[in-house]
Amino acid sequence: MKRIFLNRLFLLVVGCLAFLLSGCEKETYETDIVGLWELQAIEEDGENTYLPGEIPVMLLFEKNGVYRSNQENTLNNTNNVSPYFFGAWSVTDNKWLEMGIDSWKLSLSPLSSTNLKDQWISMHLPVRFTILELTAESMVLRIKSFVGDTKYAVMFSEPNLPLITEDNYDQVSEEFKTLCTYVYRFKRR
Amino acid sequence: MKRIRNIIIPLFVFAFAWQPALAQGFTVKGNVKDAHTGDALIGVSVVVKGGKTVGTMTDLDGNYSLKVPDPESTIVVSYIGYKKQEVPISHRSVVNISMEEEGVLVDEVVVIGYGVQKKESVVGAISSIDNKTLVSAPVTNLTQSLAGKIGGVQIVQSSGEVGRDEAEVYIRGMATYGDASPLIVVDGIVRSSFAQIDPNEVLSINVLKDASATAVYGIKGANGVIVVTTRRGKEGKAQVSASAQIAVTQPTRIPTALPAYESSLLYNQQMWGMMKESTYKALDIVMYKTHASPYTHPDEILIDRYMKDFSLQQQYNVNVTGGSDKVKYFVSTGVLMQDGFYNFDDITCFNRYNFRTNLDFDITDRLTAQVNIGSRIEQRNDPQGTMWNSWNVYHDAFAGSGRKYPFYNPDGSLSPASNIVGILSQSGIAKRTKSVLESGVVLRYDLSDWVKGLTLRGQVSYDNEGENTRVWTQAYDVYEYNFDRDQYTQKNVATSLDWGWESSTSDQRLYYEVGAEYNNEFGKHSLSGLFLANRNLRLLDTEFEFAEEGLVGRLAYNYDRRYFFEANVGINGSENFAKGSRYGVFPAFAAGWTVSNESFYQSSVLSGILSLLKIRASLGWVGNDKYKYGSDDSTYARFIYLQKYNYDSSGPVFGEGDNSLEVIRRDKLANTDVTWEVARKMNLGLETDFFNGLFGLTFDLFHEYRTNILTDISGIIPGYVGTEVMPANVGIVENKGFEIELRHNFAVNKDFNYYVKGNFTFNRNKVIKKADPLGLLPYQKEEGYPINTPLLYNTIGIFQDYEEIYNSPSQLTMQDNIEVLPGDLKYLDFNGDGIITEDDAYRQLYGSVPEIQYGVTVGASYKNFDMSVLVQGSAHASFEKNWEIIWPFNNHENAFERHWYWWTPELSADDVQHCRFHGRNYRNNQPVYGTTYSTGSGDYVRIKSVELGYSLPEAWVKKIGMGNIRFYFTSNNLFTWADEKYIDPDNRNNRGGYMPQTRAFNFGVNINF
Repeated sequence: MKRIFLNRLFLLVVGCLAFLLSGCEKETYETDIVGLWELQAIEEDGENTYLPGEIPVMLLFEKNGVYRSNQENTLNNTNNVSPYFFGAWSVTDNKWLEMGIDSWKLSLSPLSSTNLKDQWISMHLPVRFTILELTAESMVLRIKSFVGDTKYAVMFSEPNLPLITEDNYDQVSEEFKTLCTYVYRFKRR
Repeated sequence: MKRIRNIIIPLFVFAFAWQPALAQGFTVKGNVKDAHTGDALIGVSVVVKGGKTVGTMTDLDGNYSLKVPDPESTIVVSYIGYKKQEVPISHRSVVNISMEEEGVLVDEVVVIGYGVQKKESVVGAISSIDNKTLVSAPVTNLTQSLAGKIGGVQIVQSSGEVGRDEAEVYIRGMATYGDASPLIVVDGIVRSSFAQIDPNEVLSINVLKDASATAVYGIKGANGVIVVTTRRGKEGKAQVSASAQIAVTQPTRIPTALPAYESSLLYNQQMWGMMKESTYKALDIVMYKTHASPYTHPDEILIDRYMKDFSLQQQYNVNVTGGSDKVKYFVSTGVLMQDGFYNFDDITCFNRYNFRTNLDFDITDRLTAQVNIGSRIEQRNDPQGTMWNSWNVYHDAFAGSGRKYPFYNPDGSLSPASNIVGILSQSGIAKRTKSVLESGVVLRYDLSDWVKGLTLRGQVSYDNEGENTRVWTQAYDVYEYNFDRDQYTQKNVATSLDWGWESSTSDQRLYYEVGAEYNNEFGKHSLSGLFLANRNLRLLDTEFEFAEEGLVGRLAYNYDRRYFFEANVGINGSENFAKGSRYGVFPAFAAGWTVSNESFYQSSVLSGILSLLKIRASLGWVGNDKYKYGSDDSTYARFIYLQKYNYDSSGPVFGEGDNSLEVIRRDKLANTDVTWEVARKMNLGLETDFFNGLFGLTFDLFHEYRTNILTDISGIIPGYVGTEVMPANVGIVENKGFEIELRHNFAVNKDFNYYVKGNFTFNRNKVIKKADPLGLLPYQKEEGYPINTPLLYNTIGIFQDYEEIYNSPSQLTMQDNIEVLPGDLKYLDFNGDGIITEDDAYRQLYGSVPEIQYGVTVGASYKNFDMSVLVQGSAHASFEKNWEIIWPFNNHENAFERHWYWWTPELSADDVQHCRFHGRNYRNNQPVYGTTYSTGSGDYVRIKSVELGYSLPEAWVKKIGMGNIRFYFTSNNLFTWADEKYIDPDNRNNRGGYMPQTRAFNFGVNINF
């Protein structure tokens, strides 16, 4: 009886230790996110809008807190092409990924000029994603945002800035007032 | 305890009991027993007073027999755990004695206004705190020692700065929106402060709360009275005590700015709101993140550079007490030394040297005298740049940007980021020395030979407070470095240390009183009375002399320690009021009934449970003549009834050119009808003890109605009148609440005992009438709300999208508001008119003085170890937050942790800690009136102090000729839990610029020789 009790006590202690130690080795997104990722899919309010066959979008997270975004197949500069966009990244509370991202906003009165540079203001803003999933193979990010804030930002390729005219001004303005939930799926390369 | 006494001590009884008395003479016998249980006490020491070798001990039945040299002798009866007694024999052959345990307080006296009273006779609401409790925690000033320890007292300590950490003290909250500070009395004299008195000098602090206790102070007693009594000598051998404490202190709850990476990104977010291009490009952000270029992209957390992790504090005290039957003395000397909290600062220090001598003389059989001399020197040295307070340094340290300049330039010179280094180390020196003398002589002449119990008394006191300030000035070099051009631009030019200026102030007070006291018992009747006249003169620098005078009267009667009646009156005059309304009469009446002393009660079953049951009630009127100009201005109004004029050397210009004339201008229009505030106070109290002091409960219910409150009426004076006016007696405030004090102590066995003490105070006031500015809506006026209830918009959320904005009452109608975007604050449409305007702001939340404060102390001792923990809390208080402490990049260029959780559509409501970063428009989130969003909560629970002590074994200590040696460790402000996460909840500066309270770890030793 005594032996059975001691054995069970031993197993209980070992079990508790294993649980505690496993907790000590909990992985953090900040270390796991480091590496090269290829965009696989973009969902907008649940609808997949990323067409297959496009030039792959690559995202490199460096350990020093810098990321690079490039539409080429490689980021090795072997073809002497510099990364298009870069910025800094961070993870907060093991929950959110922040990235400084180039984006463009409509100026106060875009119709007063026909010059693209006067119609759009260039900015570099913090963008916060929720990390839905991060494993050795895949990463899923979500962001609820106004359409214009995403469409005219490097998420994760260079945006197409339209010249604002009387015809499209209302539509573009409305894009900055319409919310959409985006989900980005990546595969580790 | 009793068991050991009953077994061991009798072994010694036979040795002593048979010893004959050494002197022939009168034989006295008797029995000694426990006053409550009636048990015989064995081994009680019975000796003749003054006769060292004449004594005996009680036998197994508690009997003693002693031959004394003189039938007029006095015997001294003492026994461990019981209060010592001196009993005159008075020719009696049988003297039986009942001894009270030391925990029972029946004969304890309580300090009241202008005197003392037996605790059982007190019918006013008075709470006390003793010396042991005061010295238990390493406080730097006495105001801090009251927190959580005494019912009816609310403490708000807004600053922890060295030498400027005096807390605000309120008794039963605020009952006026004028000056609500209580009257301070030290050793019977009204004084301006008690904060810097050495706690080791203090015997007790008594807080007088209701009118019966404070009426004798008449025109000054309306806000309650704090009576500080310093220690006095006792007859006996000189007892020397020494204590030494060293504390390591650290500031708590310092706002810490975000690092450069985060703050630069957020700064761009702010620029977006202003529709401007981002200040920081992607490369800048990367440079901040990687720290690749510290000179072009520095990342300094300035507060970490400037604030020390720890600072040192030391306190020492030596005191001697003793005396003979003719002269008794208490002498104390103490020193407090505090270092500053800033790095680069070798100048800041606060040193306080306290001296006190209290002497009691029995000059003749009838004439006694007391000489009280309390003095101290307060020395504070500061860098010249922080001589008034370190607000600018502390504030710039946490709010200043660490992104713009490296802390030091490449050549080691000071940059604009290290400007504070210059202020702290190279801006010059300010040395201030304050000398304080508080002295007094009290004479009492016993006239019992003519009228039994009658005593004449007179007192003269002279106080002198002088402060001398000497300043040396200096300037320091600051260079701005341009990395691209490798070029230094000088921003500030250094000068050498040079003499600046000197100033001195002087504040002298002369107080005198004459009067008579009467105390007598006629069988079961006990009568006491007091009548005195007093006058107080004060000379403050070049100010016109201050003068006050008054009459004080008290009559107290009790029948058989069961029925108590008391009447008090104060008649005072104030310089603030014109003849005809200069003097006021402030009476108070109180009654009490000690039910537990009734014979019917003592024979009831209840007496075994409720050993003390006392009910008391009081009603009285007290006054207040103080009026302060504005909440931050420390200037008090004088001669309110007199029209004043001011000289202006540069007055109006007549004609052409710069021909300003010297003129005499009329000051604010005088109020010739002004008079004092009157507070009618009622109090109902219940005092109980359960199971002979095992548990105790005191409960007080109070109500105050204050009228004629001196009020600033400029808001109701139309502008076309063209002048400002002095305050008028138009205000009315009601204040009510209750206090509970609980206590429990228990000796488990001879080695282990514990105690629990708790207090809880609740008060709520209401402004009945005030001169609210014209144009305010009823719910915006202060009338009907507690004092200082803020006028706010009620923030009910954050707009999540444009649809919500369109479907909500329009906020574009708010003053100066130009747009509303998702992420902006959303307000309650209080009046339901469909738009948000200034009419939707209403009085809500709480004022700055908490309505609730409480404290619980748990203590225990086991053999030579002792411990105690005080948990203190506060609730129902609010404070304004503005500028840098809530808004990012406001006035300075920093953002803080809460701003990193800024609103985006992605974040849930639970995760958002800050609204949208407004740029072009700030009026939506920072409207003219404040908002509940920007109002901080003053609620908290704090582990206020923890103490662990160890006393060396008596046997060891006696071997080296000492009486007692105790080592201890204490900690102050160990942890705080509060709704307010980023600054101290007691903070009352809307920019968070006061240095917060400190956490202290203190090691000390007490030695009794």
